[in-house]
Amino acid sequence: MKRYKLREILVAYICLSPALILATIFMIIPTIMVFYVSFTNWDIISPIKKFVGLKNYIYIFQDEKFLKSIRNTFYFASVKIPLDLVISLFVAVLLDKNIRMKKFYRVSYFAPVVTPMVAVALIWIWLYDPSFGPFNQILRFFGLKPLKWIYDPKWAMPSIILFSLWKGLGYDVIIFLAGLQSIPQHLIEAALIDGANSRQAFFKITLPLLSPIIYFVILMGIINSFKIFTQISVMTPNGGPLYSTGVMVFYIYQQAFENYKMGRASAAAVVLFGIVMALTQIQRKLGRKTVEYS
Amino acid sequence: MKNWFTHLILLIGAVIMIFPFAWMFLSAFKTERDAFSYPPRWIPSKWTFRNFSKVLEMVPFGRYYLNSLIVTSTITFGQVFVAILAAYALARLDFPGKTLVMILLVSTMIMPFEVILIPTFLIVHKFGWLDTYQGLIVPFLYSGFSIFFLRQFFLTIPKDLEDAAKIDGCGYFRILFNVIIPNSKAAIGTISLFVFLTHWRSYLWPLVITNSTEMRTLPIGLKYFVEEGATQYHLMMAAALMAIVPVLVVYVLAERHLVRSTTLTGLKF
Amino acid sequence: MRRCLFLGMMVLFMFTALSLEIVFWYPLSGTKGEVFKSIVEEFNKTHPSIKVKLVYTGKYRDTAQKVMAALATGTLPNGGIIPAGPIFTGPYGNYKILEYIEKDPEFDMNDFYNVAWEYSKYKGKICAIPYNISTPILIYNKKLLKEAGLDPNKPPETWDELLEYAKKMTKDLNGDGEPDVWGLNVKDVPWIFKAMLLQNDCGIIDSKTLNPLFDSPKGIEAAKFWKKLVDEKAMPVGMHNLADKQFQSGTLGFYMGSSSRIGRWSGKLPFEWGVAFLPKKVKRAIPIGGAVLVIFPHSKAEDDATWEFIKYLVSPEKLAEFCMKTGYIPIRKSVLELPEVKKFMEEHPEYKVAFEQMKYGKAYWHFEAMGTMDMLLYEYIDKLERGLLTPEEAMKEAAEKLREEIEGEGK
Repeated sequence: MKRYKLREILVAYICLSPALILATIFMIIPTIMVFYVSFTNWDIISPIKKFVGLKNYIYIFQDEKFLKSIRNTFYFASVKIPLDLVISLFVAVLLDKNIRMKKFYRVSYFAPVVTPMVAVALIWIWLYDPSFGPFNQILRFFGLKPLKWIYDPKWAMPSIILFSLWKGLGYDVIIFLAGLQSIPQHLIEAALIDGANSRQAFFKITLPLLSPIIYFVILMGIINSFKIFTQISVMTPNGGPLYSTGVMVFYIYQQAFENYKMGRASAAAVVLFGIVMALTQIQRKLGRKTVEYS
Repeated sequence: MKNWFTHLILLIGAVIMIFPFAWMFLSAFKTERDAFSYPPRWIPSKWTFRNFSKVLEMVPFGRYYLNSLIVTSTITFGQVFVAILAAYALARLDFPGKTLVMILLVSTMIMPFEVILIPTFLIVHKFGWLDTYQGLIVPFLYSGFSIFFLRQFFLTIPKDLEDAAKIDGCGYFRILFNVIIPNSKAAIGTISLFVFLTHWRSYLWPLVITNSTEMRTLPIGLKYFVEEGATQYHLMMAAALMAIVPVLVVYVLAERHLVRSTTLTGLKF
Repeated sequence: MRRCLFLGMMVLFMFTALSLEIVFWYPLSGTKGEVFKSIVEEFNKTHPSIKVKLVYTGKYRDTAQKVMAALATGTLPNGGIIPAGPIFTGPYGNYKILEYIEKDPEFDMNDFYNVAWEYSKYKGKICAIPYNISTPILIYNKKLLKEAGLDPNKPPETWDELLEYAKKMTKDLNGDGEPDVWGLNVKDVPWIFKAMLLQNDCGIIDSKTLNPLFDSPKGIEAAKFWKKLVDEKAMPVGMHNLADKQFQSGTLGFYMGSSSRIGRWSGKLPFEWGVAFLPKKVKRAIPIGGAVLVIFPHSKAEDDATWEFIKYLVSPEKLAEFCMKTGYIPIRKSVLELPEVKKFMEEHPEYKVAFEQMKYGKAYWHFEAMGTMDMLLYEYIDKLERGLLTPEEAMKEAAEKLREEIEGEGK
């Protein structure tokens, strides 16, 4: 039986109390509530909430928009994450060499990351305008067919992906740069002396050593992809043409704050949670190396 | 070696990264005619400053900035303060239920905010905090992540410093303020920067909580500007410029610190 | 002398002490807000026993959210200009304003267009009075009409003419396969589609039974015509959000949207433009839109005062002043007979058209799923335009979904 000092216990709980109270009210209770509300037909106006069992879940799984939102979110994640990985790793490798103007490059690649999402989304709305935007102008200049970008059901999600890539790349570049710089030079040099060319050195030594970071970038990519909302809300406010950019969080938001159906929205939120949990578990099983947080 | 090739690729990439900002900057000074000329003009035929005054007329930009400043600063101070206390208890003190609290802490880190958005909204609504500063601030005074981060850091502080203080007769709180905190300045600075940047750009929660123009934070004010000024691209650019330039300026000046804090925490803000 | 002053101050003090304060919410900003505020100031000056305290509640959606929040916490104002007002009064048994309308001998119900009363009903009973109303209108670019070989002073009168003229104006100037100039575009798809339903003598929804009517044969005809517009390249597919920009930049011949654009674009466009009634099919008809005046019951004294204020706002002279300065459409027939209004219409023929079109207005009673109906119409017309559904399928599915939703509300 461990012996505790009374004063220590008191101090500990005093220190913990703000955090514990806040966590209870704003984390624990909401977590329980989300499950609870998903089984009711709560909407803000009527004072009566009835228990309706699985009705909300049945509704959303029959709602074409909800199913589309799951597909849209997976579409986004499965295209953005690999592209982001490859491009940012490539840029990081290039930047790792001893070249001049490093600061300039770092600043330009990272600038989109730092700027507020809403403000840059405004710029891209214009860039994507089919008549008045420069992107189509550039396409026409090269003799290519202009696109309707965020107004076209086929191109709306790719447009969002392109924007999100532009916005988030720099962040992963910096992470990879840090990782590359922590790889001991002598390992690479030893391999080169042994007769390997630089490409072999890269794939056989550098990449495996980077794998914890790659794993981390993918994990964060998955979690963040399932949370996207802001750019959808600003650039394609109704979920895009034919709901092609309506992602899961957007569906939840619409059900809750445009239709006032809190029950259905909570059911969708529970499903979102389930999917994210499942994906992170899968990824953990696949990535066998341990992750180091510096 | 192939240095020129490397430079070429990087340069093309950098141009792509910067292009939208250049477009915004040039377009903020365009007249309406230029904004809607077909085919699009890149450089204004006539430079005008009127877009800025028009934007300020249409929306209370200053108020949005003020709100964002008040909300984000309060959240930063509050959250870090709460976290320091809790992290200290978890790192340095011994008490029954410690493991339970740790488990609780870690499990709250897993839950994405978007999932508990609705119940949090219902709770804040119940408190009558809709459309208020409290509603914007209080739910974020707790962050499992900040507590965890600081706890990990506190664990690395050598115990002898504390032991020396204890011998001198310092109580637990005195140790916290005179030993732990002074030795954690870098970590506290990093986490504060991280919290500030995360909440400065917060969009979903303020969108849901604020109703009136007076309470809007900068991201929400901009979003409504899109709705009201959707046809006025040149005004949108002026608004975007006013929102982005201060951030960019701070960024370029503090770039080194930002990069370091990103790699240290490995976090996306 | 001093005694007079003292007495005068006592009287003034008594009046301000005795003056009843009522709180009134409103969602008007910019110039419209200023006009409204000045009318209210005049009321306060000429009615010393009542003091109206105005509270600006943001745009329509913000105002609606505020009302909902206030309903839940019991903190409603005395009255307001509220969008979809009947939804916040009728379902809660609040028909207070109807009591005053019926009992007040000074109030002439018949002077209002019939559509105004239909627009203010919930389950058949009046629970609001419309105030800042707009109607859909046809705005046309005279220059583009001329360039297409059409008479710039003869806008289309029928659906067929609309299609024919619009087709002529659509042009691909740079040969890239995409038209750069379009004949027609529509801003508020559900609203304009509802206008077409009405023009084809097809109702939108049966007010009493809440049975959607747009999947009837006449409704499907309207949907077929809409499809024809995009198929024959009179109107672009899925670009309705860009309609304003297109018209402003001179690359759109016909713009169908809210009459509020008249005020917004007056004197600002670099080309000559005109305003016309929406084209007709079987007949002329238009839906209306805008916010309404409601009373939220408090004490009898406060309600009386709120009624006095509302009566003032919709009195012919004050309504005329409001509409002439803001561009909203008057809902009282006698307003058009006032000399100052006649002069105004002569000087502003574009407003004359908008004001006179009101007589063709038609409305259904407010019901809870109205917002859903608009969303469904938007979604299904989008699918129709993109060729994913035939006109019959689109109308039938949309109507079915709406029926399901309405039934669900009934539980």
